[in-house]
Amino acid sequence: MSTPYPFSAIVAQAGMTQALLIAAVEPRIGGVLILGDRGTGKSTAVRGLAALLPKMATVKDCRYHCDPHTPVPDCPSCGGQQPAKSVQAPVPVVDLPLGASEDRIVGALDLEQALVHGRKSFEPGLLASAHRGFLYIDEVNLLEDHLVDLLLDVAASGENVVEREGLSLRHPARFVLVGSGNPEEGELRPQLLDRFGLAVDVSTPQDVQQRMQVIRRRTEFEDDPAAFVRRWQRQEGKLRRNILNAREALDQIAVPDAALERAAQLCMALGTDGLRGELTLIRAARAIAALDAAESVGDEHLQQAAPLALRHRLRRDPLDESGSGSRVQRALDEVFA
Amino acid sequence: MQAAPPRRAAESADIAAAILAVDGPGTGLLLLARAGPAREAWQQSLQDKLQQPLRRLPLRCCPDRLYGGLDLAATLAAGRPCMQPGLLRESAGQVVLMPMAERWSVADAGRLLQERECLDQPPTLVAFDEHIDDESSGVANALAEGLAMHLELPELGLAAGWEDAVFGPAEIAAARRTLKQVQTPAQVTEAVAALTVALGVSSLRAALHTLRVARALAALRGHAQIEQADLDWAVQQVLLPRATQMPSAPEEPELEAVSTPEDGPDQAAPPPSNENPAQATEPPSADAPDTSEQAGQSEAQAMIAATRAQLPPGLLAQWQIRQRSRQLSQGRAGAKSRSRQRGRPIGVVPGQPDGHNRLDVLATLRAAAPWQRLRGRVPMAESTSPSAAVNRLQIRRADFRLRRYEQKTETCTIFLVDASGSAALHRLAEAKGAVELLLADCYVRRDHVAVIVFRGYKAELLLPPTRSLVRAKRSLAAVPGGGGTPLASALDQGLQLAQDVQRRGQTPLLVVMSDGRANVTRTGQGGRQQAQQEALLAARRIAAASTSSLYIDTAPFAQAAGRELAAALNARYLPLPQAQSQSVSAAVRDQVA
Repeated sequence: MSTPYPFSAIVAQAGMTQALLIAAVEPRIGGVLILGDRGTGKSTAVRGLAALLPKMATVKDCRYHCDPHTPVPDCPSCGGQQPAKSVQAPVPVVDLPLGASEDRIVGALDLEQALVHGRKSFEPGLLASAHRGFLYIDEVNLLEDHLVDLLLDVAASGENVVEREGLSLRHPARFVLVGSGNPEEGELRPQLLDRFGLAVDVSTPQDVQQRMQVIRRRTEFEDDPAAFVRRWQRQEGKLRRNILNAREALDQIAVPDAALERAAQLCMALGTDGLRGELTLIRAARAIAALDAAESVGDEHLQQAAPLALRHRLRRDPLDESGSGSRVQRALDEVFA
Repeated sequence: MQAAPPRRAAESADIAAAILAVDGPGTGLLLLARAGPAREAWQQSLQDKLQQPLRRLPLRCCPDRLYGGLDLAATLAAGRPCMQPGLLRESAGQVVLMPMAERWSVADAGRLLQERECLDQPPTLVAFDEHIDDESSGVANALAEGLAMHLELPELGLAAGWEDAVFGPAEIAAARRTLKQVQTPAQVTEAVAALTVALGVSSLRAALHTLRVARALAALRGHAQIEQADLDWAVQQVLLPRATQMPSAPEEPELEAVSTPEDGPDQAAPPPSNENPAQATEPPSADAPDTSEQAGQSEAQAMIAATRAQLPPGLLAQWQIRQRSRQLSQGRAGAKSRSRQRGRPIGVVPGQPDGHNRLDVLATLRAAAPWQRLRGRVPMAESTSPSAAVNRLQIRRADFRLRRYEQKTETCTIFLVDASGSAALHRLAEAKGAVELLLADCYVRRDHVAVIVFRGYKAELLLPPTRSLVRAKRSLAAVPGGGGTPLASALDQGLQLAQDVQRRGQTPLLVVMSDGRANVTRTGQGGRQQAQQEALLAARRIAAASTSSLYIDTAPFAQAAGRELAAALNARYLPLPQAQSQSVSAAVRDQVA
């Protein structure tokens, strides 16, 4: 695998990078949906983020890369044995190809073992490989519906339950789901949209200078990846420390009642269904506060989090031409007036 | 390129071959060319330039073979796992040809590009787009996006074209050596960035591809840095085919306001601030400071202006054609009602697993069981030797059983809306409403909707098959009404689209909304009698193609003409003088279910 482009060298696209950073700090956020044209740096950002994150400790030879510090007793591979030998492994980023079959995703009976040795064993799928990392689906809107349902279900429960081909097992599968797609080529069902924690719209910068900068950096990177990565090492290190600090601080950040009330007001003003919107909004605001090294969630954090957490949960009105982003902004202006 | 003379297009194709030989993995080519002597000659010339054989990627190459995997037959024969390397990995550093690239589905093309990205030494891809114009379709967007150059290979004047190749082997060898040393001046980068904005190209991958192509061309021409001519050619082949808008001169602030400031004092949009290239959000480090910022600026403007002057005159028309075909570009994979991976299981069949299919282990074992003694397997209890070879299950290729699934095909509803005469506005509004209602319903059923509007002298495909509410609303927004009723051409176009849809594996349903009074013939002439005759004939052709249809008579009073047409169409007849969107969408839903 070739060297990924440094995350901190991404030009503009503040919304997308912020959403991904929130997901890195708070994996329970429930996934990120990135909507936009091809060639706007979506895959680059996801790969860059994974490379940015520090290596994680895993149980040696465990096919589900379990964490040695929090053993999982029903892991089919390592069985949560203690003490476990621990090795450092990079955070996995698994690309889910559009044409992937259910077998490939969930895992299936190991044909080689079954036919050659007559043994019944499980061949882990992509969900297992993505455990503790990122599962990236390009063009999620073109993916078969039953696969999207399956993925969202596993992402929400953090566990993959396999009941097929005479196999019956479960293994942990906690990952951050990152979906991307172009809404012009087909839309996601509203009930699926709601299952993603955060959503961002990306577009190519319309400013020539910014485009130039993108092209220049990318060309430099392609000409000599190693040198380019070296030049960005300091920025990357800074960002990495920021993420690590934020992760540690996350639990200590207070959520004052005022912030909870604001969040409820916002959701009511926008008429979002269910509590998922509010929960995500608070979690995202907390992660932003952690990244800012703040002590408690304030108005500014809620204001930053609201477009990311709420814009895809609005009830679609076919007659309303204005985008959902501006509706969120209007509600923000009202609530924080 | 229709606008370029064949001779020049042939020369371009030759240059493209040379570029592939110099920097293949970084570029890639989409060549609009059908199988024929011209393509053979081009392939030969490419092979001569590369001095290595080309590989062909067969259509429907099974994923196991393409990306590698377990070789089941060999595994069973050897009694230990045998892996086969993927074709993609095997062809590292080689050129891979993809004939009939337009038949690759989005999913397959997406996976191909994704797997290719993960290789250290990716192969060079050359896709042949062989679609014929009236099929109005092309290669999948994802595939087109991944290939830098988009060219058309002319059928004519080729014999003369190939003999004097633009670049000889010596130049290619030299260019391979000097490729990395070719400089990219700042103003070239800026010109490309400005052109992507002006042409409405949103993908910055296209901009990067342009620079790669220009660099390879500069290396071939022996330039030390990318020059105007190199950039022009690259823009022609990379950016123009992807353009979504015309760089109309007066509205272009970046292009005009700076090069001739006295011309445009009243322009609204200011040129981007040139003083601080590093944006406020940017970390200030790692960007090479531009010492000659101002000088480079004007040079870049000149370059953009020169490139714009190069745009062929017929570009707009050509662009519209491309635009139309782009919207339909999903790649197709033929009619399929028996899916191999999803749907309701409907039993097993003997066959070979190839990555598309899934082996049913139980059924395979069951098929192999009766033969075990004959094949010499000693039962466990009787066997004294612990040798695995003896105890092993004896399974032969013929025992393989594959699972089969049945899947409901998707429906594509094609609306043919009469926008002629006085009732047009009302009818059109209701049709729009019906389309939006159906689309809302589509979230659940995953169906497609298309709209053809006819008025005046011709029918027009207003909305290509889509599931997207966003796009539907945009294209339905402004449709004028009034004029004659060219029913025959509308029905023709409807049939053509229906067949296109069918070829993509969906079931078409035609919904005709008209009062049935045709008065414009196929050739655009007036004349009620002949127009009516032609319309009836066209309707019978649709019936003969056994395309299911629904006729909604919107005449204020039901008339014989409508009934007659519906009968010719073999359609369900539904007189709906008010044609309310609710009732229309209910009727269509009825028909589909």
